[in-house]
This record gives sequence, structure tokens and C-alpha cells, in this order.
Amino acid sequence: MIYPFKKTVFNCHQATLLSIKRDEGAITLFERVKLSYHLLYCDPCRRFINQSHQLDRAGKELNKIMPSQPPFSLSDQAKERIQKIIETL
Amino acid sequence: MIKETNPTIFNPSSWVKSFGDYLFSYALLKVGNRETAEDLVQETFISAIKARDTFKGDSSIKTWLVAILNNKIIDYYRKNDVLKNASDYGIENDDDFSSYFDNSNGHWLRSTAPQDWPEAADKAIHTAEFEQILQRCIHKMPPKLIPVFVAKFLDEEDSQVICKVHAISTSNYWVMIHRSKVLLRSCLEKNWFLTKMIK
Repeated sequence: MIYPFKKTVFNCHQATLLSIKRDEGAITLFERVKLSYHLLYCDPCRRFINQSHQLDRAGKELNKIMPSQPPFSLSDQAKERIQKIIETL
Repeated sequence: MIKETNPTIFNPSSWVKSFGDYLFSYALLKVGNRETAEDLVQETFISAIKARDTFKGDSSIKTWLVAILNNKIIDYYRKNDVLKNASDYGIENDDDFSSYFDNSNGHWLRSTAPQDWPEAADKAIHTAEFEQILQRCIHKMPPKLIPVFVAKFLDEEDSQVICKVHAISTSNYWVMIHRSKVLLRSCLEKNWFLTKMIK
């Protein structure tokens, strides 16, 4: 069984929301304690938080490499069209 | 990509080659549609040439072009009403999201609970295929979430700046980032980490 305390008031929906607030330093002490307690017994939420941080790193990395290694390319037609417009200005 | 010898020299005829794909990638991640992204790049170059007198040379051409493109993207969001009523987001009934947690007790459902990802997940995110899937997953989210989420995810903008630009309260901001993360994480898990990724 994943959730031994299925009836607890504080749930995964709230816990994951609080983890987002915690990431940006906007969590109160009381919320922090509630979150830590929840994470003691909730594997899926711990996984959510780790993976959420993994995605943050992916975004940062993408932002950094995008100027030198753009993941997508303009079509040749668009390149040609835009180049022509630039030359006429 | 060709590097300009001096990043502050104003040479529009080299822009498509030097910055075209970069600006296009940036725009595509933010608007999710190739034609729109191409148009935005084109408009950015036209506006930049017309406003060449305002380019002071204290930043690089690239930074200046991205700033112009960003304004165009915000205009595009406004024109398409993406930002309208974004502040109501938290109150809206959102079927896309309500299926992620058990309605009666707020816990993960068996089908939505996060799974373990393969250990190589961190390395596998730097492949072209992952970025295609990332782009598609971002644009599967409800349109109102996208501008706020990409500003945070891609631009790493300060949350207070994001709230101001998009006219939302901080508590709405948390709700929107939370939803985006839940949706994006799940989409990537289904379409990449547990399926396509080479293990």
C-alpha cells in the first residue's frame, strides 16, 4: 500500500504545492514542518520533488546551451524569406 | 553557428545565420507553433532594423534581439487572450488537472503517482529528441499556464517579475507553477523517461 495514512487531512496535492513554495523560499515554518512530516512516509511525493528539481536543471541547461546549440531550426524557406526581407530594409 | 567577431557590431545581413535558429527555438518553446514562431523571428528582425538607433552597443546584439522577441511574444499572448483572466486560473475547474489527484482525499492516484525514472535520466535530457518531446509536452498544458511556466522554466525570471508582467497574485503563481509541473512531469514520464529514453 502506498499511503498508510489515506485519511490524513494533509495530502499529496497540498504537499507538492508546498514543495513548489519551498523551492522559492516562500514557505512558512508551520508549512515546512507539515511538508517534512508528509515526506517521511510518502515515496511518490519525494519522487515528485526530485524529478521536479531534475526538470528545473533541464530548463537551466537548455537556456544555457540554446544560443550555441539551438534545438530547433527555421525551415530553409523561412530563412530565405527572412533574409530577403532584411536585405530590402 | 557562426560567431560574430564583435558581438556589438550591427550587421543585419548576418542575423539569420547567426541568431535565426536560436531565436526560433526560443520562440517555439514559448508559443508552440512553427508558423507563429517564424513570424515572430521575422518581426523581431524588422523591428530591430527599424529601431537601430536605440541600440547602444552596451549589450550584445543577441541580448538586444531576445529582448525585442520577448516583447513580441508578450504581445502575441495578449492578442490571443492567453493572459486574459489568467488571475482566475486557480478558481477555474480544470478537468485536465483534477484527474491527477484523488478527488476525495487529494492523494496521488495509482495511475498518476510518480514512478522511478532510469538512472541515466539526467544525461538523456540533452538530446534533440527529448527537446522535441519537452516542447510538445509544454504545449499540451492549458494555454493559460504556458506563459507563466516558460517564463520561470526557461528564462528563470524572478517570481515577482512574472506576477507583475502576467498580472497574477503570488498565490495564483504557486498554483499555476504547481499545475504545470504536475502536468509536464507526467507527460515527460509517459512519453520519454519510461518509454523512449535509451536505458
